[in-house]
Amino acid sequence: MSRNDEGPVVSVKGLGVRFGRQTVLDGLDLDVRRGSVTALVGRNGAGKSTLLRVLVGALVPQAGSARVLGLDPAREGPRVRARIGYVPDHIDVPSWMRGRDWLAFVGRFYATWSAAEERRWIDVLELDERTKVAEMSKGARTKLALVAALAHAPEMLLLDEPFSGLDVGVRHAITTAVLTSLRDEARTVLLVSHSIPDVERLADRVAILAGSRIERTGDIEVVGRAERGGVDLEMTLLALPATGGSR
Amino acid sequence: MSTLMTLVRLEAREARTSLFAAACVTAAVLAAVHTFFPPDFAAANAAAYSVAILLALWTLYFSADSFATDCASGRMRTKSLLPVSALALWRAKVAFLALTIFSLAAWAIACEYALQSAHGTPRSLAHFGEVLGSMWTGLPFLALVAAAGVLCSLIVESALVAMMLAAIVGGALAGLVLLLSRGLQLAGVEWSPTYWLFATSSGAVLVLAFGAVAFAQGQRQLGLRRVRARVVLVTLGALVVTGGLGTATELYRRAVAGLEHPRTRFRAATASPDGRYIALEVEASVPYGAEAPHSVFVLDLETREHEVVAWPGMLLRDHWTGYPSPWDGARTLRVARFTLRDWNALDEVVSVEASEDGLDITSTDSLPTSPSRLVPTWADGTSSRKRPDGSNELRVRWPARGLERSFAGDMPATILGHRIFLSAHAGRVLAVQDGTLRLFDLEDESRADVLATGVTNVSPSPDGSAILVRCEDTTSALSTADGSPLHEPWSNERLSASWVESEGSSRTVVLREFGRGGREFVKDLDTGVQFELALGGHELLHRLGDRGFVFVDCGGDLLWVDPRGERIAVLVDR
Repeated sequence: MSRNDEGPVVSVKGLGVRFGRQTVLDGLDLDVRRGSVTALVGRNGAGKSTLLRVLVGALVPQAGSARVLGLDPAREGPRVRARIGYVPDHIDVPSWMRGRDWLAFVGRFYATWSAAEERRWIDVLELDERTKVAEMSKGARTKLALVAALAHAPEMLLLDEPFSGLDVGVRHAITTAVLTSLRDEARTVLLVSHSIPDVERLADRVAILAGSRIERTGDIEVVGRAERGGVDLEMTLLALPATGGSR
Repeated sequence: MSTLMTLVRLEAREARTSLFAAACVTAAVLAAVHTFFPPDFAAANAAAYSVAILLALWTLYFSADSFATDCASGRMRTKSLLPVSALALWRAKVAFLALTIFSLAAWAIACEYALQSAHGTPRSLAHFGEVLGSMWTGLPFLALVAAAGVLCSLIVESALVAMMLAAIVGGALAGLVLLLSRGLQLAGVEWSPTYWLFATSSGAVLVLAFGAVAFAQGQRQLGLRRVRARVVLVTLGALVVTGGLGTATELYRRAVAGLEHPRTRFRAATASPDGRYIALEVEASVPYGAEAPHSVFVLDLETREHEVVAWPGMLLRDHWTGYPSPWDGARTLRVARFTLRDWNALDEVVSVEASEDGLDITSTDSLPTSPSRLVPTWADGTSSRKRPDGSNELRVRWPARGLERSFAGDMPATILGHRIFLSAHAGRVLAVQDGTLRLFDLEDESRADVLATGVTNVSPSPDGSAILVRCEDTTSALSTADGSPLHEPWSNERLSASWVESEGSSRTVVLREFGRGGREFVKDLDTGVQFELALGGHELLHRLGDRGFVFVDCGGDLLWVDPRGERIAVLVDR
């Protein structure tokens, strides 16, 4: 039995999130298959980051339910976070620390943290963990966050636009190194990105968020199929209605 | 290492600059104290207060900084994404704060001990310990400040603003605890400093619990300050409104509106010159050791209506006798009004004048220096002072004759109204010396023994024209004019005698028989009229001149009887 035959790693049903009078997510349904690299795409303010925050237990929805690895993140947030890796768009690491200090600090919170795994990802990403955070480039900080998210061998990795602001070369190197390894290990990845080329290159499934819900979902070849043949996800996105302001 | 310790360790590393600065400032301040204050007690005293003030300051700073900076920088969001619960993050902050305060306190005390070892003496070191030890009751208040700081740092993402807000909130909470304690006292709960500590500590714990709830709620929508702020403000608002208003209402109901309340006790009275009005000083009955505010009402004997003159407040007393200053033609009624914040802090003095149209109440600038009824006009300028050896000296002056004589002895031997009595007859002084009552004449410098037996206690009549002299077996009423007896002595075995308060010159005593079923009699020494009264203990018995007496009976009612003891009216029915 392949891992894809097992139940979804993420199962969201009728999810509703409001901030004051603004409805961000409304009746959202989504399943993420185990072992897949699923890209969550949509325009600014569509609610992509909000959905990820719900999945890690940082935001409790007003309606619907979400299950991650069979757990309810609203009630069992720490247990969910112990089994997944999450790289948000911004992470504030104390600038006086060295990279290895931060990894040592984070490692104390995970029972499954492995020094060998930590070393492996440091090597894969070519991170100099002896450098002070204050002296690290944005790319180096992103690598540090990735190592911190991967060294406890998570069952699933959530990436919330961690590569924005990086130059093409660094972004390509990181994404290729990380996602290729994870795909080879059949680990699940849920990726939020505005970079359509990255999505088309890395993801095997895509979910398009528009109008506060998942507008389309499926294999990337199916969802992003172009009229003239091939995959053109950008055109598919442009054809969807715009949504509210950014969040 | 546990999760908690890991988080606390990170807090400590993050705050190491502030901690180092606080430790340096503490040491510098204490060093400055020892430089600028004279050694021994002055320096030890100043150091103890410095330690207390610095600790309060550090508590305010570190508590206000606990969440504010982390939330502003996004550090708290980063920590929240670790696999830890909101409660664990909260506990780490509070534990770090407690450790910080404890460490800084220990550091400050260690610094002072070192400085005392170098510059002080064993006595000054002991004095420092005593003064600091006497402040331990302030520890719960420190906890309250810390809790308020933590709470404010949840809703303000600036440590400085949170500090200022925490100072206000901490003060408001302390006021609330004070108000609550007074409300409980009036409600009959026996209050003690232990309860005060308990209440303040409980308040701190309660505030921290509210903070934990607010923080946990905020974590459900990570990064949204308004969620935390809403919980904090709604909770605090509800607490202040319900607790404050509820207690204030109860205070008012019991202490002001309760002249007829069964718990009200009449403490003192004084009547207007025409006898129509009577000013009553009352307080709510509270358990032993508790404090309740006194309040002053004026009761109109003709209409039976009353009005509040001062709450909290009291009738001004004669400096020497302790009786309320009389309300007569020369002296209007003077009432001290105290602040609501502190029942013992004078707010203003009001003057009450009775006229045909009613009462005229006006504010005066300061406490009046009304002459005592124990100092007759011939002895104007008589004063007392403390001598270098600690004993008291009463200097009796007779300005018209240019005469002066000092009476000295150990306190309270020479206190006017206790051992020395100035006669209405110019130049005469009665004094108790070595158990003997003697009459001195300043004019011819003569001295005569009035009572040679062991005099144990003497009390003057309200107008000072007579004294009750208690000896071993009997109690005598004597005139201060010449020491002559006003009545045959009463046996101390059978009854006790004491003066009935009065504004006029009437000399009336109340005689209380000993034993179960002992009766009480009122006797006018000038007219010889005597009648029996059913008094309600020692609460109130006051003579209204020719209008009779007011007194509290066994049932707690305030009654008015004529000079022969015939009931005229029930003034206050309880």
